[in-house]
Amino acid sequence: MSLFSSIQQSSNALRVAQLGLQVTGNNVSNANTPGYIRQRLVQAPANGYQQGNLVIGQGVVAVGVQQQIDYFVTDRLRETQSQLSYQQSLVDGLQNLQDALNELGDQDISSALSRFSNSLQDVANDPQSNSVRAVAIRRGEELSLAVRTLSDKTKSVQQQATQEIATVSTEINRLTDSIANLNKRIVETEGGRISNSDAVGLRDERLSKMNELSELIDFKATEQSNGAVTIIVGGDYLVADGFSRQVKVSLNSSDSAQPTEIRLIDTDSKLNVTGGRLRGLYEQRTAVGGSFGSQLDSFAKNVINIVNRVHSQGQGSIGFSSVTGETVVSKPKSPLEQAAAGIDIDNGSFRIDVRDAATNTSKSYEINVRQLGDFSDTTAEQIASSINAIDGLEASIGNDGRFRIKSDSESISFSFAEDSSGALSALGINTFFVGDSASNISVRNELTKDSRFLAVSLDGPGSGARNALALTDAFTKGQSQLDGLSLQENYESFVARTAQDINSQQTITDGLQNFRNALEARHLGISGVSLDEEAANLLLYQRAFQASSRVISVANELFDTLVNIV
Amino acid sequence: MSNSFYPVVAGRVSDSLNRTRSLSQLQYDQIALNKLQTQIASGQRFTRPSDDPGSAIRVLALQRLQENQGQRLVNLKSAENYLGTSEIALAETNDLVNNAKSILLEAANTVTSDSDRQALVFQLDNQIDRLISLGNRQYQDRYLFAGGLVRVAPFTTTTNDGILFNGDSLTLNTIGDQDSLIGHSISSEQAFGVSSQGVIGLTDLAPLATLQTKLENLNNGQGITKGAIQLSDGNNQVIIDLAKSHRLGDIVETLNGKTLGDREISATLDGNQIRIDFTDGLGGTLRIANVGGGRLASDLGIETVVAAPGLPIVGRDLQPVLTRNTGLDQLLGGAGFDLSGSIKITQGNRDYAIDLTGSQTIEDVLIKINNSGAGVRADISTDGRRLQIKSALSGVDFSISEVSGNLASRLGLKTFHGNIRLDDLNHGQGIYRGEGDDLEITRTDGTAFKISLAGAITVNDAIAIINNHVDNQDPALKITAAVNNSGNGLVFSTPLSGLPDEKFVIGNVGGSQAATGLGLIPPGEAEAIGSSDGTNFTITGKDSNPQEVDGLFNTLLRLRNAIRDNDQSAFARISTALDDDANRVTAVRGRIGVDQQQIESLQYSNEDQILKATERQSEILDTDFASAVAELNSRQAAYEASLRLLAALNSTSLFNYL
Repeated sequence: MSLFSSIQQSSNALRVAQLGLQVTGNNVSNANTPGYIRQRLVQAPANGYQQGNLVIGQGVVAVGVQQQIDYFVTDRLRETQSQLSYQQSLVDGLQNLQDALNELGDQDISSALSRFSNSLQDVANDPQSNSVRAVAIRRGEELSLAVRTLSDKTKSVQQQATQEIATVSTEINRLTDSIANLNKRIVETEGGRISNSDAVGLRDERLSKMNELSELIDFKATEQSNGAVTIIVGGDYLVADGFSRQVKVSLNSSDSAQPTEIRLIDTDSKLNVTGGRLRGLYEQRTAVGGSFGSQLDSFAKNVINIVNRVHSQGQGSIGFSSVTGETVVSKPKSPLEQAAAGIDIDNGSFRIDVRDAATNTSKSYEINVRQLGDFSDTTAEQIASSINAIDGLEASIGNDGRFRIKSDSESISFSFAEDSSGALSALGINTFFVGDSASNISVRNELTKDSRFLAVSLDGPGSGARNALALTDAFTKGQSQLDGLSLQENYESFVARTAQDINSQQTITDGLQNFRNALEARHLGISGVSLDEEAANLLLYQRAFQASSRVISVANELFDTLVNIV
Repeated sequence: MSNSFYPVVAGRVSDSLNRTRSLSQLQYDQIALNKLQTQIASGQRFTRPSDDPGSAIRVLALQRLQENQGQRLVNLKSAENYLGTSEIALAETNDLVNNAKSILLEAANTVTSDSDRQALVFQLDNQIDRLISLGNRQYQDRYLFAGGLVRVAPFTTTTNDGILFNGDSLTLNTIGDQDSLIGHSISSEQAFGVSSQGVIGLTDLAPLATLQTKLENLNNGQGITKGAIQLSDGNNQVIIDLAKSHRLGDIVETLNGKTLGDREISATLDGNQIRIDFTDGLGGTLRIANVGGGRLASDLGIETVVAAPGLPIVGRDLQPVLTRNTGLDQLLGGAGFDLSGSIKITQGNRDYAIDLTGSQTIEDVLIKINNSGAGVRADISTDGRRLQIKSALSGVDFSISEVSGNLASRLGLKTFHGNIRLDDLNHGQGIYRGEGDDLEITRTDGTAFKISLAGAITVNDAIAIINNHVDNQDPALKITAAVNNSGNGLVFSTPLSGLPDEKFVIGNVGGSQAATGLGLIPPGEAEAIGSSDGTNFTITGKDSNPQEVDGLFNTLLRLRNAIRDNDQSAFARISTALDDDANRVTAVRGRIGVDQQQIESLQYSNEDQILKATERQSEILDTDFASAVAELNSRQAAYEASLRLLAALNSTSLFNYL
């Protein structure tokens, strides 16, 4: 051991202390940098040399600068973030629908249902008044408008999701591109060294890009030995080394609820995600278009069918001189239940009353509708010919597929009654509503033009208003088609299901949020900069520097002593 | 984010962790503050159903209850108005009846001169006009007493001095409460009496069931229970679902061609019975049973009770009722009813000949009668097997007889026939009999004999007593009494004897008015003298069983006519009728009173329900301001604390001491 080597030893220590100061300084400087992973100077005792029987230490060496990070925690954090983004996005979509429902107030569909039903009771109170009838029709229009508006909003939530999916696609490409680039630069920087954290700044950046990506999609990330990460989504590589695979938005014709999807450009196969905002958006569209939309449609259909079935059997204050069915009969020669989509017919009959004002006579005719489920069942054409056989009436199925009945002369009018078959409603004759879904429900045109056609009577045109009460009952009393629920209750259960869905989704989201917070806290605990700790380190490096300097100074004095001897 | 929190972790704490945690805390505090502010501002504990789905569902149901009950209050108010207005009109009607009674008393007791009577007639005409205007009273453009035909004036005068009711018998209802309908129109029939008792056909038209007959029209109109039946042959069994059946044909068609084992079943409708057999007709075992709790096999009468019933199995008479569409060829058990010919309806001094020739269905018959202008309502009787005709024209006598031929008799609609009770004749006044003999008949040989009608209940009894009288058995002098085949009334005839000055006379005996009551002697005359047609003497009596509307309009018109014609004999009957009319009006007013009470109690209960629902909704939905404000304060304090904490955390550092 020589004095020189002592000086050498201490000068190494000085260098390490300086490096330590630099690392500490870097940590302090980045204390507020988002995504910054704190670094630590890794130092080790330098290899000693043997002198005789002694092995003398050569001081300290700096081995490297290491990021303080627990990859297990960051991986879990990313996965949780993906799941959270997925649930959050789903809840957001459902919340939009709930806002569109606008329940708990008095401008919602449930109030519109009540108002319509109540206005029909007003008609029963004042059957003589045309203006009260007109108000009832107006209430029916309000109800159908409210349902249509909700249907439109449902569609716009779906469209929004579709637009967002396009944005997500662009974002994925941007992020995978930059991760691939960072991979390249990290590999170059670290040059195959194995400290796994040499390219500290680059790694920070890559980590934050990966975190960003995890909000969009869920993926598995594995770091290769050269420092590059491989990103795998649903079995497909998205990033490998310096390369990324691009994705695009493609039209999807196989599923109407999912008009678009994100696919890998090179293989045109769907990117299979199980988390992230993308999955949330996909499911939002399913929930909105599928579950919510179909429930809304089936509610609208129930309103249309039940109200129409009751209305079609009633009479207004005047009879018809002509009437056109709203249903397009595509197969007039087939049994009625197959004549058009969605027709619901029972074995039964209905009555047509034909009134001749010239002779002041009213005759009734029974039209049989056989519906026993075989080939002899009544066809639309047969109904037309049965009606045609009635003196004074002409019936036909037009080229447009619509059923038409008209009277031969001005003095003849006709009305309908006692339809146990549901054929009138199915053919769209003397109905209140037209349409077959939430998007196209509206009040029959004839009614909005002339309120006298509002079929509130059951005892002949202009007599009493028993049918108005029957129509009211559809809203307030249990219906066999609705498993004993009234239309009002049917709607409430739809709202209740939606609210329950959102509520349970929200609970899941809250749980995930807490879990994510816990993971983030752990991550920040490990990788975040603590200024107090850095201050302590600063003191230690300062002291180490001072001490080593002192060793050099002592060695120098000893050296001087020796030199002066000479 | 509502229930999120930022956990404290064990181990190392970094500045960024402190900062993130503090910021999260601030975030949560702010969200909570926002929520509380929304609660306080909106007054609602939650604004989205998903915030508290259970409560939201209850709120929706409560809101529905309030909306529905609110409308029911509107309904009740409206019914109250209509009933109240009707009641006022009926109170006036009561006064009017009392006025009529005083006029009647005046006419019966004091008035004798023509001019006095004229004055009373004038008064009565005024009362009648007033009654018509009461009957036609409107409220909010509704004719209160028109039944369902709310836009039709229910009472109009006709050319033959009658008053015709044009309304119907429908009651307008509104919803007073769940499952509780409140009538808000008053039936004219109940208040005023606007139709005669129905003339119900004596002839059972006995309709035949066809394959088109609806199941609901079987079993005397009670219908039969739809369901399934089970067939078995001892080894095999098959259940046949007939629940979709609407007509008899559906049952027959569905059963036909079904197989049991390898044998085909055949079903036919034979008369009014269903007949079931194996198609091959080779006999064997065939049993039929109800399925589950169903009753179809029993209702059709094809349920078998013995182990090996004889084949074919023949069901019971399905007892179909008439419908408007029943064809005339289906009548009389399928023999058909020949309706060619006419019936005559007489309303006062006007006859209406109604030709029913060419009718195909019951409806055709009804339309012809109803459109005859006679002011009658023809319908199917309640037992569903006969025709029934009522008059809606007050103030005149109504009868049905033949024009020529015997159609009215064949339909059993003639208003005078042998089975009528003598007590029912002359508007229910019967015939006035004294002690002992009633009729004295002078024969063509100049001899006379007396007949007592004691013990006769019906017209036929009286005819039998006369025709079988011991003094009336000489064929040359035989007096034959009979019901007039063509018109209504009795006909007495006897052959001419060829003696000089022969005549045929009927007179009352002693105090008896039987001959007058039977319509043989015109009122005010002492005897009836037979007229000769060269072969026979005949005395044709007048209709002693005229029908009339049973009601106030009729009574007033009758009273007016009786005073005008000075017909003192009618006063007693009219007085009774006026009492009945007054009672009728009073009874209806009483019912309105009961209805009004019910309306009132429903109003209370509805208001109570609304109030309770509002309270309940408020408990669930409304913000509890005291607790919300208290929580807002504590949240603000927490928020402030978080802010201080953040500031404090950032102010202390080891660097301060370097």
